[in-house]
Amino acid sequence: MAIVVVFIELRDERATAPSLRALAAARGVSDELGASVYGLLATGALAPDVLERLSVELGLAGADKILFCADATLAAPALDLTHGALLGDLAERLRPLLFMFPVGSAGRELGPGLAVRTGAVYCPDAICDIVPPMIDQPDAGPQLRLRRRRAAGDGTREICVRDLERPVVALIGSTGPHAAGGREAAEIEMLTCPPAASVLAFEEVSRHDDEDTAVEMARVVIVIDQTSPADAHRADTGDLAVLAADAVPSIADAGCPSLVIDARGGHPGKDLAVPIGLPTVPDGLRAVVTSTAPSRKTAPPGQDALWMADPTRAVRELADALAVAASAPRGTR
Amino acid sequence: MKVLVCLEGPEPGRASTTALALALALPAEAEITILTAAADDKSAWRPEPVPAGVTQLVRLIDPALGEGDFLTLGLALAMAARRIGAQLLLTGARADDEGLGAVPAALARHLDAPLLTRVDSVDGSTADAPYATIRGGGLVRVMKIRLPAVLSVAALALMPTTPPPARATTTTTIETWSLVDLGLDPAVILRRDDGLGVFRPGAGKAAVISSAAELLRLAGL
Repeated sequence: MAIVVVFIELRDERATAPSLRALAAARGVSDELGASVYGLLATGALAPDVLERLSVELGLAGADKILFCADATLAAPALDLTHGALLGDLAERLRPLLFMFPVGSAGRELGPGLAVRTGAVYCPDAICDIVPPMIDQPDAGPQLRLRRRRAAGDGTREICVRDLERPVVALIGSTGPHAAGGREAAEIEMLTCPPAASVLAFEEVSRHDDEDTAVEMARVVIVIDQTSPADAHRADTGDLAVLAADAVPSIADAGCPSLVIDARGGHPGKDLAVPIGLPTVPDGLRAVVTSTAPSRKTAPPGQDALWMADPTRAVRELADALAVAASAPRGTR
Repeated sequence: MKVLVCLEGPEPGRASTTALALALALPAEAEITILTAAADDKSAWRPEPVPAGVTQLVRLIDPALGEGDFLTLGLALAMAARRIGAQLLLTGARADDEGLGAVPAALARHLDAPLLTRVDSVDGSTADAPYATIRGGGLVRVMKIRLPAVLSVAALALMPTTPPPARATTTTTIETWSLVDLGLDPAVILRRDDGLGVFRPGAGKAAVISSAAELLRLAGL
């Protein structure tokens, strides 16, 4: 049976929202393909009750099994140096069809290294879905498809996994639901951690909390002009990250939201925040807020939408709309 | 400390130019080489003038590189880095034309050197073991680096604010290498196009939206 492995990123001993979304996406495609979904927890030691809670949480999100590897070397945020060998060994042993990472810094750190180790296809900022069999090939069965937006913003790339002769490592964009009809609790399999390098090449000498970390997990990012008085403050929530144009943090590049909005107002086309590198999922939007009637000048290349609105009120309107969308019954959104 | 900055052509992106600025801000003792690789002379980066303080500019040009993917590009860069004797390697994240961001990992793998990604800044005041600031997992961490190492600079990292130190180097050696010069058979540089998938052009025209709710709906939220 084919296997899909999903790396689970933890924060404060809880799975991140993008991890749950990635699991749900894996569950959705695996049901169609008859594949099993394994969640990979590579972390420091966890108390038994925490592990039990996670098995329920991840099971509900879509995991059939949890591969659990606990070691002191895995306690800090993921580095290729500390986690890479474990992932490589696992990929070698299980030979998964697809190795998925949720958006966030762990995927950006570990995904390319795993693809290089295993000779896999690497597909960042992707969404996955199932393509039904072609009319002239009814016996071929459904196909797993990955799509991502090209960095240049000029289109998308589509990969049909069945056509490949090698596995795929994918970073799944921040889109979709948190759960997809999984079981109540996932089975847990304990893994042995490969021996750490005797001398680590990197030694951590200091650390502090990253106050901008919410942006890497947000589904919506809005960039405002720092001089806008009403909203020039951080209003980060689980789904929405608000950034001042002159202080877009580097960690924003680790995310892959469904919607990126330039709401600086008055300067469309001039050093826009969107083209400088904030990725979006292929079905997502890159939008510019403008209060003037659209013309060729106000539709800069690479933008998918022009939002006719008052830039100074954009954050509030967006937050309100997100709250309404979040409260809508499932299936109506 | 021999520092190598890998830059894509014909125009390096923001992450790569930041990587170069971080290298130039290292102490004057750091010996800086720029490596740019491309399929032809037109596609390779040709700075005019070469940034002050750069000791060597190596232009690795070979038609076979136009056929390579990130794995083989990483191999070619690693062979060049070995020949240069680089100890600290700086690259931009997602510097390849597809924006995959896998070249630094391939470079590190072929060089058998550790990789550190999402680098925000580099402090080279202690030449044998520089420090790098990285972000990830909700933390900002300062890491002491044992050389050799490959550092991938975040696409949105900030440019260093301090001016580059004055360096003794006043001239730059410019060299053009081919894969054969590195002992690499161009025939091994093969692109595996299945990994890129099929390209579908975008719509190319912006939709006009009148409300936040409509915007969320169109974004699938």
